[in-house]
Amino acid sequence: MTDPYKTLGIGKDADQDAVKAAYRKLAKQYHPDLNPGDAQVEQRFKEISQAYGILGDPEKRKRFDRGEIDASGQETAGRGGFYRTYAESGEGAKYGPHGFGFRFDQGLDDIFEDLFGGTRPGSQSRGRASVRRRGADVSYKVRVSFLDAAVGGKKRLSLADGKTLEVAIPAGTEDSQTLRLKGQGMAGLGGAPAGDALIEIGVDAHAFFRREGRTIHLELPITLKEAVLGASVDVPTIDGRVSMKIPAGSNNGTRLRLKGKGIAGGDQYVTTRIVLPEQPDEELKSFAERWAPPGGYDPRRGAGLD
Amino acid sequence: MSISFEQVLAEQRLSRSDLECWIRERWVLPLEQDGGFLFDEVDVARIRLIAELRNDLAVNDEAVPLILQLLDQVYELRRTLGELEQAIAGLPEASRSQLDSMIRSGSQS
Repeated sequence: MTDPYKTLGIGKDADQDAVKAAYRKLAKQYHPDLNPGDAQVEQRFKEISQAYGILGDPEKRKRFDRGEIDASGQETAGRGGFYRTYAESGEGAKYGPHGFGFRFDQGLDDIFEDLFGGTRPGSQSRGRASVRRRGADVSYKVRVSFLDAAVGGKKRLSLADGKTLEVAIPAGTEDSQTLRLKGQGMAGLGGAPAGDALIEIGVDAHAFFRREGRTIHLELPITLKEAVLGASVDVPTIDGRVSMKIPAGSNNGTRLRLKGKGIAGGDQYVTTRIVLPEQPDEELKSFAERWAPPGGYDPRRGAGLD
Repeated sequence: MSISFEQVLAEQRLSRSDLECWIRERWVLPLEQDGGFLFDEVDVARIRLIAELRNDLAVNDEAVPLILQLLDQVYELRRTLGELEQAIAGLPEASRSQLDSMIRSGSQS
């Protein structure tokens, strides 16, 4: 771990303004987002940030000077990814020079036009650009609720360029599934078709449903009485509540199937969980005292724990 | 994973008015869904960059859009360059070396 004073190129007696000035000078030079092609600068920038993280904070600087924290400054908050990590991917496409500001619909002075069709300075062939090039795809990320993903739904999205899109979420959409909307990406060149909008769907978790492909799982709390004697109870499904029969003698973890109540013809499985009252009442207590199952019932025996 | 306006404020320790202003100025282009904003990784990284430009690098608000526009052009060029690289990698060896020698020898007007 290098000495933060050396990293910032300042002396131990530098005042806080000098620390800040030194940091600014180096950060402007080494910020990775301002040097997208240089793999080396990221490490350098991290060292500079770490050094400034200590020396830029008078309290931490004192502690470092007293030797209470080392040059790593331990508690350096984990910084997320740099902009450059994403800028050249499909996600960054909306920030292309045609995306920022008000220039979205202006003519594209595309580099490919210069290369393959445009007028070349000093060249004989001054013909009008004949190049056709499909527009770039643009990626978006969208969140939908568990139920919208399960039974399908519609989402209205306003895109970066001001366009509004109605996206139909198909029933059974999986988490991180990508929908392709033809022709909703960047405009094409020379009459070529526009690119596509790629919409990655993130599905939110549900309070009580869980999903495995087209199967829905639900854990259902039941009373001791319902477990022993059986009952008919109302159970939520993704299409609303249905009545379900709990057979007498259902146990903790008994799995019951609701045929066709899952996603697109899949099933819903209901797993019962017996829940005792938080405070057993007198009646339950006296029943338990009187209860003497024949044959000395011991659930630990079957589990090999006796 | 995309996150909400409130999550961005909390994670990046930004003021509401700052972020609202950046969206209005179109420095950041989040998706609008059901009346709320959704920020994906590229938006959050860009917000972090804008915050660093202003706070750490002492770039003033007049200069931020200038820098963003220049950066956007650099990244667009790099994206295009990446496509060209891929296309050239798909050419036969003879064409690639011809291209290489033409570029190296400079002007071919």
